[in-house]
Amino acid sequence: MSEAVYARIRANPKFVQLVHRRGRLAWTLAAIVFVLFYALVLTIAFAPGVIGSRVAEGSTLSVGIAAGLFQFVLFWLLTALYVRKANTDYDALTNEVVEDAVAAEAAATREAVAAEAAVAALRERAREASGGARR
Amino acid sequence: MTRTIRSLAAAAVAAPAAVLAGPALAAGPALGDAARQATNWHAIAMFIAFVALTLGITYWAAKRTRSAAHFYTAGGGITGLQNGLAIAGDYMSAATLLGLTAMVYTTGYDGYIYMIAFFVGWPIILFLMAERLRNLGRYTFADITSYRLDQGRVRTMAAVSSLTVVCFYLVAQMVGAGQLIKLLFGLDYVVALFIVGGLMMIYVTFGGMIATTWVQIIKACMLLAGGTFAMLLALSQFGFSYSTLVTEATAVHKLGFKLFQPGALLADPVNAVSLGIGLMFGTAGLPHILMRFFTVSDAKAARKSVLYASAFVGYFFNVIFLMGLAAIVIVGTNPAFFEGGQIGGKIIGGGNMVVMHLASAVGGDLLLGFLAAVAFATILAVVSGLALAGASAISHDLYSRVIMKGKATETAELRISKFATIGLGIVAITLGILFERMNVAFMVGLAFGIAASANFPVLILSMYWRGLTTRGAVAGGYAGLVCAVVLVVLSKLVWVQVLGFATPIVPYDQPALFSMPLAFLVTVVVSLLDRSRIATAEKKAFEDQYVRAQTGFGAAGAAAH
Repeated sequence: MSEAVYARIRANPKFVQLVHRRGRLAWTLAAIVFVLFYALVLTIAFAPGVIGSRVAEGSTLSVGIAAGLFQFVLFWLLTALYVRKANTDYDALTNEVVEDAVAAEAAATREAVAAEAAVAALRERAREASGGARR
Repeated sequence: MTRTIRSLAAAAVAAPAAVLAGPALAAGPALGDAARQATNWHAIAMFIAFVALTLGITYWAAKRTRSAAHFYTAGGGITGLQNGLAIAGDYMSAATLLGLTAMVYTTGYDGYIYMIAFFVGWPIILFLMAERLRNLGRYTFADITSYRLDQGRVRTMAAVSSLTVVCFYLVAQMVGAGQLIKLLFGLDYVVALFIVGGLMMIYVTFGGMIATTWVQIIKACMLLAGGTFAMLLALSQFGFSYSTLVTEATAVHKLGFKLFQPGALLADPVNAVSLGIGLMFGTAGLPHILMRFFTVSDAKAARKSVLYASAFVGYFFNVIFLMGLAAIVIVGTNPAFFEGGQIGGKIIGGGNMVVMHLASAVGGDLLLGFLAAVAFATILAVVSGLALAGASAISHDLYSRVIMKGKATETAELRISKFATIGLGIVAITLGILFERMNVAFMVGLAFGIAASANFPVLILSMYWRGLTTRGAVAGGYAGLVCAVVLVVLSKLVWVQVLGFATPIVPYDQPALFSMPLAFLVTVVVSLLDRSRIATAEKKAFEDQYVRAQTGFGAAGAAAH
């Protein structure tokens, strides 16, 4: 049952679309995190002076703290964005794809069962007919 | 020398700060040096209240733990918010509270760098792993890596690396716990170990994941509340102005405004990048953290868990940063907190006690007692999570799937998991006693390094790469494990500070930059070269696994209640 359903899901263009859209968002967001975080790490390693300087003349806020706090906030907002998209749009699409496949498989099974029953009934009738003829 | 070693041992209290492994905390006075403190009754009363509450919960949980699913994953019935809190409780250890505050107090910005690095693993886990973990896994992360591969070999490898991570982590926790409790409660080191080990065994053996989850949730709430309260009281002394706080802190700190410049700890680019990689991907390979994703009902709740957990973790790191800065002024200029009243000398109880002194300065004995109880609760919550992860690797992966080849009854598997928990508790107490005077700072760093090198590459490839085969996974996993261990042993942390040689063979303290790419490389190359018939079947099985990972169709659901 489930293998057949997996095959149906795979064949559904909506599944391809789901994977494509969700994957693109996930990798874009992950790339933003990678790039910004490793940019900060490399700045710390190669230009510690920049990290320790003030954001503006006379300010008590340093560049490193501002950049770090910015990452905390931004990355959490990206997390919220992904959860929102995934839990509404993508999950709705996922449910649709799964339901389609399960329903189609059930219908196919039902049809197969019905067809089998019809064939059996025909055979039965044929057997009865031939039996009757012999009698 | 002895002092350095013991201060390092103390620094290892738990996850985060121990990875700081060395210089920064060693610069501060030693925690282990301090003699037993006077018995702290406020702290003990509050701690007893915590223990009574959690034992009550364990009793309640024990009646609900009827099946393997309940024991390992609380029957999959934990909500997103509960799991988010529990993850935060599992992830933020006593070292987060004590070690990172101390680090901000002594070196300023270095502490903030560690906190950012500990935080950035979470968005990555969400974007690339959370829903696939939930859709594919059942009890352990080896369920995922072995999904379409050879159960016996892949699970054995995953169990070996999981147990290695758990053991190193557990020993570091136990040694730190003993030192800390001696200091905070005035209890004997060995007595403290037996209390921690004993409670851990009771929670996990009787209450399984349900009790462990609630211990972690309660502890997270206590930690968040206590930290926030102490921060607000401290900030009130600066008129709630960051500007005033910084002006006063830089005026009294010997570094001045250089407090906000990265210190010597990360001066070496290789170490800095390696640390970033180790903390980011290590988080994504810790068995006790991964296991938490199987406790929720579906992918939706798994995603929400990360949303809440990262909010709590990120928030608390910033609270710690503010407490560290405030402590520079409030603790750093008060002779009452220095031995012999010598400002700038040795802090009473050692450098890691900064946050406790801050609590006592701004909130009196009551807040001090509360934070001490929080620190103890924190250790219990983390060791319980570790013990459960270790026990499931033994009972579910090794016993049920490898030895009995899936034919073990649920009752037998559950019994084995309880014996495994007790075994791990005994091992933890014994090693804790043996390592009392040893430098264990390298252990948590090593745990993160192994998690990033042995667990993470195989796990992520099993979810994303069709071409992964059993041979590749096993070769890559062991390569990462061995490489991470060898690099750490040859580095300054073990070669010089534990084994006593003059110069380290490997100049870098952090292994991940080398061991993680090696693990990926070996896994990919061996998989590509694998032309066996089994490998072809394994690649073919990826198609169905992929659909399940993406849609959750066929995923293990919540257990019937």
